[in-house]
Amino acid sequence: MVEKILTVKNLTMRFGGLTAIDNFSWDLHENEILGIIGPNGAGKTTVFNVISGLYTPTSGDIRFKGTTINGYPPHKIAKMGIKRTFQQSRLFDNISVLDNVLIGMATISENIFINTLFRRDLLQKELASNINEAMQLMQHFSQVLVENPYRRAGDLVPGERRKLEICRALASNPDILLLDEPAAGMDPNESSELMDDIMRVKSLRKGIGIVLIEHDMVVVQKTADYIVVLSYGKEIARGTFNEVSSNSTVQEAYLGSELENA
Amino acid sequence: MNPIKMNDSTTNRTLNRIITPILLIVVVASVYLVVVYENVITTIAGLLLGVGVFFGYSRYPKLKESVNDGIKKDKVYLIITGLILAFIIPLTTRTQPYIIHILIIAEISIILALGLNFQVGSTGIPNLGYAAFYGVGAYASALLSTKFGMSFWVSLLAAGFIAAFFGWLVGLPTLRTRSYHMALVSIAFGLVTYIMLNNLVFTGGPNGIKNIPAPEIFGWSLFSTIRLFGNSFPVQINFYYFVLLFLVLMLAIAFFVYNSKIGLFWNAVREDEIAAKCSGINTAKLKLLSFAMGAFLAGIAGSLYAHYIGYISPENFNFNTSLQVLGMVIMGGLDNIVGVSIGAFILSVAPEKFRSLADFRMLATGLIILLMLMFRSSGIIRQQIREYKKSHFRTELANKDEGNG
Repeated sequence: MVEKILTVKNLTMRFGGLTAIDNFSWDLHENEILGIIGPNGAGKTTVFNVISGLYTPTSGDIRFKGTTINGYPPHKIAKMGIKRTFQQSRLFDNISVLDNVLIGMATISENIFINTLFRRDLLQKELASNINEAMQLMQHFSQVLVENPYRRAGDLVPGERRKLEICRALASNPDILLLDEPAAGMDPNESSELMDDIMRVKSLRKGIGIVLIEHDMVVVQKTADYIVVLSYGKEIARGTFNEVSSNSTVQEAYLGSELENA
Repeated sequence: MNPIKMNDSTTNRTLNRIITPILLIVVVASVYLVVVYENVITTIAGLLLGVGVFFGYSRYPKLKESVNDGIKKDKVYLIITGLILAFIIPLTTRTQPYIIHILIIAEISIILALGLNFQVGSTGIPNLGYAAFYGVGAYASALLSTKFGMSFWVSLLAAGFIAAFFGWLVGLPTLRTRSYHMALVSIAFGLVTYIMLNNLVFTGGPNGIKNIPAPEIFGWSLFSTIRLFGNSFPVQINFYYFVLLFLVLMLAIAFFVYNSKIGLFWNAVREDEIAAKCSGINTAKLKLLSFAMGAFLAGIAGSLYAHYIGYISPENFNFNTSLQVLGMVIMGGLDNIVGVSIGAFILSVAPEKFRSLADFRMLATGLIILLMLMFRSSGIIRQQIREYKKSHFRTELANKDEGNG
């Protein structure tokens, strides 16, 4: 039996009078890629912000491996093993490519502060192994990153930025990866490369669960195992890609109801 | 073999190893000319020499590459040379206590600037009230040793920790405020501290604290004159070496922290706080740490200052001082320890050297900052990309295709 790693139950998020997410429930299993789709403003990114702890949900329950995590601070949730990327990729621009990945790794390091001053040998040993691991990780995704570990992250082209962001998230070996519109602004070539990357993540980290928010339907179709459709904060359909894409409510939400008259 | 391209393949190594020391000698000579001689011609000559080297360095990429390469390769020798120079220079000026006094103030300024760099440079938190920590350290140390009869060493440590506590306290509002608002909060803290020092009875009000005892090392006061081989050295020289010891210690701490996980996390907080949080960094804790550590250095600097001068008053720790230290950090180069030290040295020595200009001396200092920001806004030495030892990469990618175990 495949284990559930994330359970979202009756999640509701209100901002003042606006209900951004309304009674939203789903599960994420090991080794699964879950796609969340929906028109602009449907509340998809809000779901991620709630799960990663940036917002505290108005009501509902988020359970990660049996522990309720709503209300936890973002860094704690990230440390527990839920990592995310952002719609507008947020890298640490003025430091190097390698350092970006090393930061991801260092967050789970056991070395305490006092070692900084007194146990340089331990620190150097850890650093060496982290650097190796980081280079290997980047090797799986992009030759450009491996060849330029000392390039400023801010000088990378958008495609590479996205890859680096995924590397940074994967560096700490998370159980869940939340990808927020990774294909935004990509041409067909780049997005097909991205699909390969997503499948690679799945094969690299055994058992990882991925939640994917995406507008590019090709990407969703090729990668997601299961899809939930969100419109104005409410779930309107769920199922495999073929099931949802033939659903009339979904077509209406995306294309407007005039379609029926045409 | 190693896919990492280091830039040593193209340039001539022997040449690099010669050029760097030569340039460093020229730089040290120019500094020496400016600092040591009370003479307009030597000052100008020294300045021209220094600026010339600097322009040559930044204008010719080849030269720059050679020097950088040389610095990287011979780091240990350069540090030793630097220490020897720092040791010898005051001996050559032992007949001019005033020069040594300037150098001591420069040393204390460098410690101060290193502390502020933790916040402004590494973590990216504006702090315009830094002099308050300096003041808290100086007053804590002075009060403990004059009113409670504590020894210098106890007072010094206490000053560091009391200042660190204040740093932590001021850090708390930064968890909720950002950029301009944070700058305002820090200014307010600086002003409040200044006014408190000025009005409280036990701090001596505007008169400050007098007769702060000199530090003693195993019962030997730093205010006693050393006689060696028939030469007598001014007391300032004792302090020079004493403060130098602390400076080297603080520089070592700053480098260690910069190269550690903490330095890296601070940078992450500076670059993007939300991304840092979602990467698993406790940003609140790290910001507080940056405040506490910066304030600790300021507290140590304050204590050293108090025990060296022997007299402190609130005027030493006003808003101007905060701005001066901030100027040192920004002019030197944010988040670059060597740069910040150079900036602090220049901005603490310059006003003294311009004394002959009387009322215009602050104008001259302002002019230096203005020119600096116009022609090199990222500071004397800009923020660098961390580079790791080549040996750390060695075993990497041996198992390219099955690295997922």
